[in-house]
Amino acid sequence: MISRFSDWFDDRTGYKQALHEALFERIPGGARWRYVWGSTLVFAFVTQLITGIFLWMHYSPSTQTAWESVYYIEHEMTGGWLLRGVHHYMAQAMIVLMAIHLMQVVIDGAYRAPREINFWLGLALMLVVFGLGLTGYLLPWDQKGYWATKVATNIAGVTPVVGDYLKQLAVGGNEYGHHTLTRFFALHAGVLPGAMMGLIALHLAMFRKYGVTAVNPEKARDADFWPDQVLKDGVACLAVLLTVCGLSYWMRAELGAPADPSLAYNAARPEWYYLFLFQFLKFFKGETGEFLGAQVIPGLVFGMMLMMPIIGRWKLGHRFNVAFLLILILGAGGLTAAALYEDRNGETEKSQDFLAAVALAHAEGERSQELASQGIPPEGALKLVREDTKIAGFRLFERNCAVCHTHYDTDGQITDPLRTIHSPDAVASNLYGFGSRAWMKGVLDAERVAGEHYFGRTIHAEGDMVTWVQDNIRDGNADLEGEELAEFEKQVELVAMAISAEAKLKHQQLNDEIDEAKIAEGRDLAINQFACTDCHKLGDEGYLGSAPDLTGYASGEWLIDFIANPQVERFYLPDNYEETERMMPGFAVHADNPALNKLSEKELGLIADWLRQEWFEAEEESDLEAAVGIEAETTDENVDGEESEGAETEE
Amino acid sequence: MSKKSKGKNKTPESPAHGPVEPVSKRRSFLAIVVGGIVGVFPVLSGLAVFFSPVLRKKAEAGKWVRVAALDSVPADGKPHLFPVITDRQDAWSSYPPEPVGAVYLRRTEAASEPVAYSNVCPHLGCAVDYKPSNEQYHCPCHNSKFEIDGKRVDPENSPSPRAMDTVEVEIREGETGTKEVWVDYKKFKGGVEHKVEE
Repeated sequence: MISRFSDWFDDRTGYKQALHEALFERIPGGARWRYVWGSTLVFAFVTQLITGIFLWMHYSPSTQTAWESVYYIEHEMTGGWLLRGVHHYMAQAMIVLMAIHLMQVVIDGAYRAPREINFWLGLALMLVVFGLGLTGYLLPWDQKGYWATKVATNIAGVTPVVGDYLKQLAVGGNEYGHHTLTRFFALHAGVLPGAMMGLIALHLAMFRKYGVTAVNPEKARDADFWPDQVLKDGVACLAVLLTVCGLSYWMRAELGAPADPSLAYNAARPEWYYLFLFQFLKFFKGETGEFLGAQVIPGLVFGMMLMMPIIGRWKLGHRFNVAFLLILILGAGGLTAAALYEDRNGETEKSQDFLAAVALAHAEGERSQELASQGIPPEGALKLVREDTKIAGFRLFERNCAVCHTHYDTDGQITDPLRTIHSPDAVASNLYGFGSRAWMKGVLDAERVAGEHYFGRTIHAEGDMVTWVQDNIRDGNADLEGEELAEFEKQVELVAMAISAEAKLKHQQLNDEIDEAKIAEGRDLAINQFACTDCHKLGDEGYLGSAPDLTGYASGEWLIDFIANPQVERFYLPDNYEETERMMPGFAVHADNPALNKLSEKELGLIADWLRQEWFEAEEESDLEAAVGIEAETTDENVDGEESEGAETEE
Repeated sequence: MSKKSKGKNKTPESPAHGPVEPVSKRRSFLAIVVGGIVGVFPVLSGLAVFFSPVLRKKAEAGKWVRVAALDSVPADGKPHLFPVITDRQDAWSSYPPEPVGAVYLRRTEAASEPVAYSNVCPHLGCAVDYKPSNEQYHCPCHNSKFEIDGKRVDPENSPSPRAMDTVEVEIREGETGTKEVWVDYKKFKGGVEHKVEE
């Protein structure tokens, strides 16, 4: 039955002949592993075509929707991460496979007559693949792709005569925007794959015309393409597939924060297979240098490769070609290794800066995705990111406060880059956890209050507060032991708890409620036993003018007023101090003329909220952490392990 | 002529006709012209759109933007980064004022105007950082370094072809009479020795 149908079909199409020709190509010397690379490249390309089309069905190339649609594929669509992962890693696999294929072709002399045209077709294919990698990198419109591509289009712009036009055509104008994405996408999904398919058809046709270049055909029996070579090809493709799938699973394709043209991106690097060019460029100085390094030399190298079929006509020429290629690949490999080492050795200042920038970029990417999970407004994810307290507060603090202050967990437990700022020339306190119980305890600790994390670098290093803590908390009770000492320490702790409660920190809310009685006790101790209100104001007790107001200490309102102008009666009155030029300046001192202020009301609020950890957290995360018992990153109290006093009984 | 196949596996042959029409030079020429027009037209129809970024009249190169109140620029001789916030048009989208870039403002004496530097590296367009600890600008991409006045550190060996680009500054009076720093925010071509507007 089937044979009758196949005969009928063959009468009309002649398929049997075509199939026979395709499958039963004679391979002199038999099937060999060294011939598999071309087939793996075809496999890779077809995979990219198919995964690309599926991605295309869900991707939207505009500045408001590109990142957003990629986020959706990666995180919300079933299997989206795998689809994207395969596309991402197969692209990189193609670069490796191309290099191997090129090496095999050159070493085996397969570029020699009559196969020169095919060699040049192969080089053309290589350029198309590089172009596909470059155009694809921009499409998610994240920080990494945006800034890396900016450098690439600027390099194009350096081309003599036509550089400006080339750049404008690629970018779609003078500025990166909608048309940059649409043009790159048309290239990536239309023009370049089309060219690739045409070139592959020609490349295969030319290959079949003269057959494989067998180096030692007498070594083994001849074989046919099917099944021997097809089997080897299939195994090689399988290995590539497994590698790509494995990478997709263990290292998800990254999605950085949405592209922000107004923000410096210090972790900007091209994809790894362009790192050698990146490293190369560092050696070229000035205008001519840049032209030489980015265009002339790569052009000459490519020109040399074009000449290989001609040079290879002589035996010495062939050896030269092989040597040239090997030196090229070793050189590129060396440059890549140098680039990676320079960036990641962790010892030079430059490397440390880079690694910190990468960590921050990663944190911003994750935070962006966390925000996106709540729904993205029509303007796009960038709006969400710019208005997010955690990110905006961090950036404002870094730009305005980190000149003097630091902000990092001294226990080293929390290393979230969006909450960690080390300032090498800090001259003020470490504000990590400001207002929390742990922080307040430090103020009342004679060692720490005079240390670098509190007053140690300020004009108050030997001031009244430090002296008081040393006299009353350390020295005055040095004789206490055993139960008396424990009792005293507990009292100090209660006071810390009470002042910390003034801040009404959201992440401490539950504990403050549970410990209401203790807080009342602590407040009483503060006023009546420790006599804090001899200098400070606390509620109705005490007075302003000689020390900072403890009423609502570290609360949102208190912080905003403080940062706006700390040199007032309510906080640190300059009259009380010497070296007033070293005091903290105000950032919104002109109440009557806000245009003159360094920070707007909104910005002050963001900084205050950031210091107080009042930002949105995705619920699933906290649920997961609760379920699995991982400490929630945001709640310092849990990390210190000291604050679950509601559950403990002290006595 | 019969079109039925004689046997099951034989393909039917096309029937033979009489003498064939001779190749006419005129018709060959016309075929080329008409075929050419038809074949080339799809590409031609898209060329105007494709080349539009290069063909359209250049929009005004710079844009005067209020960057800060003069008093909020410390007169300490140090560069301070200020975002450039302005509205813009991108193809079909009209954006309300938002950060589009940044400039460093450096003010040396209380009386003088600050100098404004674009934070775009003149090498290949990355954003340049200012490092207070060694009083230098540093570009994280290819290691270009600049002194506090924007000039290249070790010009012979710097990747950057020129010093950091200054942009024009004007002090204008605001509504309430306060002095404001306005900047003519422009982009300059990367990788060339002379400062050229983009």
